[in-house]
Amino acid sequence: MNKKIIIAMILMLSTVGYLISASFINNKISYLSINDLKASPATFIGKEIKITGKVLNDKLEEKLTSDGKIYKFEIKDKMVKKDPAKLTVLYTGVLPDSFQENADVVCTGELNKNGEFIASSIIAKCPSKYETQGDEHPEEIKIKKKEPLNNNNTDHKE
Amino acid sequence: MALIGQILLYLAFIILIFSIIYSVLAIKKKSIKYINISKYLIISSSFLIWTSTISLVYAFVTNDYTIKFVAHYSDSTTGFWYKVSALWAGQSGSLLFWTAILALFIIIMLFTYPKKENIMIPHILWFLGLSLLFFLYIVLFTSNPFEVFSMKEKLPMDGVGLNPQLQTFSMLFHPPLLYFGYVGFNIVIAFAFAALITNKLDSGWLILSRNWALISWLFLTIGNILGAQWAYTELGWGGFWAWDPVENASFIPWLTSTAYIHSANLQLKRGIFKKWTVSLIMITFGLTILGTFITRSGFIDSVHAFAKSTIGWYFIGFLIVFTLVSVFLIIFRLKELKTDAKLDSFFSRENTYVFANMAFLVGVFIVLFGTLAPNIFKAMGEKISINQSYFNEVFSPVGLFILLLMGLAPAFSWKKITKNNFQKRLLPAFALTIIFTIAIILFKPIMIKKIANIYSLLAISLSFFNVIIIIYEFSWAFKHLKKENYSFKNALIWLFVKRNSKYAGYLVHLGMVMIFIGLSGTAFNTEKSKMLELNQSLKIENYELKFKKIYLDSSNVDKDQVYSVIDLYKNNKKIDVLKPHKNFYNNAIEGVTSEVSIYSTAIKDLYVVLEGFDIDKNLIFIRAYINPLIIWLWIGGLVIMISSIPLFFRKVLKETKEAKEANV
Repeated sequence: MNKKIIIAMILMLSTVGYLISASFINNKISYLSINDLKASPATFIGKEIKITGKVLNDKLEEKLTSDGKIYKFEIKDKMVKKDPAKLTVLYTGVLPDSFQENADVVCTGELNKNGEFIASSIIAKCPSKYETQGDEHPEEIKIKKKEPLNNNNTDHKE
Repeated sequence: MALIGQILLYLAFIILIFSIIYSVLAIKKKSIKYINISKYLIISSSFLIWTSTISLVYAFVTNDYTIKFVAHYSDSTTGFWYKVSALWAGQSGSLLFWTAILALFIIIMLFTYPKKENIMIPHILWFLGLSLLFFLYIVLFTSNPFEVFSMKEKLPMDGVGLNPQLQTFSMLFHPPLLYFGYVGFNIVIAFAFAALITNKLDSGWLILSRNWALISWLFLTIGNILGAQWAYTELGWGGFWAWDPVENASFIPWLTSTAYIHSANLQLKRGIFKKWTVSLIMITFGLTILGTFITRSGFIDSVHAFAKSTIGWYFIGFLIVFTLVSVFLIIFRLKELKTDAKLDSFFSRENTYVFANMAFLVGVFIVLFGTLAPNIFKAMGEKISINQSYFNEVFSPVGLFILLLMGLAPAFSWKKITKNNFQKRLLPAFALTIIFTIAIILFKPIMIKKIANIYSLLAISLSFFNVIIIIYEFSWAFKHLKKENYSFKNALIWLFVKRNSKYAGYLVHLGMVMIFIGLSGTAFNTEKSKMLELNQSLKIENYELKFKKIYLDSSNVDKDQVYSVIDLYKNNKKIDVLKPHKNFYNNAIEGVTSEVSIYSTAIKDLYVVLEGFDIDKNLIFIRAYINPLIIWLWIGGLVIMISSIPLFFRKVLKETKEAKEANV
């Protein structure tokens, strides 16, 4: 290889190296379980973080404001089986279709002073996650009767 | 049915072991008879695998819920084709499907392989035999799709059902296409291994594997694009790519395979780049295994990873062994891989290839690092996650650099750019591009507000540059054809058969340029949402969405549908009626899917999601997105697909002769 190529390569690689490190530092955010968060909530207030948990109560409240629809729901720590830590989440936007009770979710956002999590984005685990786990069998899943549909904004019968 | 499928697989397993033994014996004793025995054994093993796979599909179609896998992924209301596709909806079935594709490809490979070639083939046989054995082992002993409910367990009355989000057209094709791609590269890598071991490192193995490499690349490309399209139309979030680990897992082998295709072409044409070529195919295959590990192990937190299981570690084992052997082989053959081409100038076409290869590898590093970083940090005791913007910020410049090289390569000449090329092609193309860019900045069809917008502007300018170069290339070709008085038919043959890797290649580039244009639009997305009563409307840009009606359709067996009817006005003229709706599935998963409405134009998509509703009160809550230029992603994919077809013709015409010349 001639010298020019080597110089150009070094230039290219160092540019990319700089870009990676600079962008990485900017875009690195803490990714916590609810237990981690509850251990030291004060350190995270106002900082962008990611939280993972299981949806405990998918429809605590839904409100309409001029900004759009605000959802309020609770998630629980997914690792701890007994008495898991809980967190209230507020979110404005489209909830993913796979969002439902017991779904694993990843919420990005920040903790406010009241200990509520203001989410800016919510990801629920995707379809291929429907791999049934362990001893869960289809017959245990009740086939529900058709219920009248109403996905309305104020009250929920489900 | 389960028992039959199971027994067939065991039989296939045993026969395969014998096939591998015979291929090794064939190498030792240099016996053509043993080669043939090994071939017949691996072919019969492959047929058994197919029969077994078909028996599982049959179990799906006939609702055989004694098999756990069938009960988990289908129910009596699932449509026929979705029952078939349920084969690859879950972990164990998809692995069997993967095994079956490998078996099929091995059969096709053996039937198309030159009969007289006896040196490389035993090595190809043992390599592919071992690969197949690996997958068969996993299917049989760790992730068995034929597992039945035990006597103690109560048999289910009906299955759980296939996740409704997977019941879409693109899901029928997206996973198989990716598997085809991965498995295709398994065939190519077998050729590379055989060439390295037998020291046949001239272009023979490249000619033999050329079509495999091309078709696999095409499968990966289309598979990825279909995946993006699925995410766009099905998930209802207005985007199509989220840099999720699973997406990245299929994207990184695509990057290196693209580099491989180009390097292999260069080696075929000019006998250089031998080291690049073998290294790139090894890396590509290694990355597909790594990708499988990422998706299947639960090691990495992804939104659509499969359930956690131990099988990922088998893939890591496979990867480690494969990497060690590859590195050893390449070092062992370093001398033979040397090419003595000296470059006269920095500004040569060869060098654009060198830089492109580097850029592809750097791209892989960026994506891989971003994907694995959370795990690296976890090992050091810090729990972190990487925002999507990391990928966008760092990958975009690399992508743009590749786009620039894509335009430069044809304009540069081999060895050294000629004065003629520089003055008549490159300079005018640059000048036009600069004028075009200034015009965009001045007339402001797009607003530059953030860095992403600048990247987009560059992408559009460089796309323009590429198009000019491609036009120049074709106009030169047409002039040449006219001068030589080619008939239309002969002209087509000249362009797309004789010189297909050049001219069909340019058309593939044109498709890529369209994809870049589509990607550039993402920096200008806007969205708006609103609750609407009857006859109220939501305005976004020059569109107006007027809510007319909401109704429930329960005529389907498997689902209830809630439709909203929205009149679409553009500049105050009614142009369409949109019906974004939600499906409520009746199967045990009780899935809900939002079916979006998309009004596409060449300039922008209007994307409407029905977010919430109240039928009694006649209320809906909708969200509308404007996604500029996105349609070019899908058109680009189509262009790539169509213009790749001529690339396969050359071999039909010349294969035997060239293979002979190459002395394989």
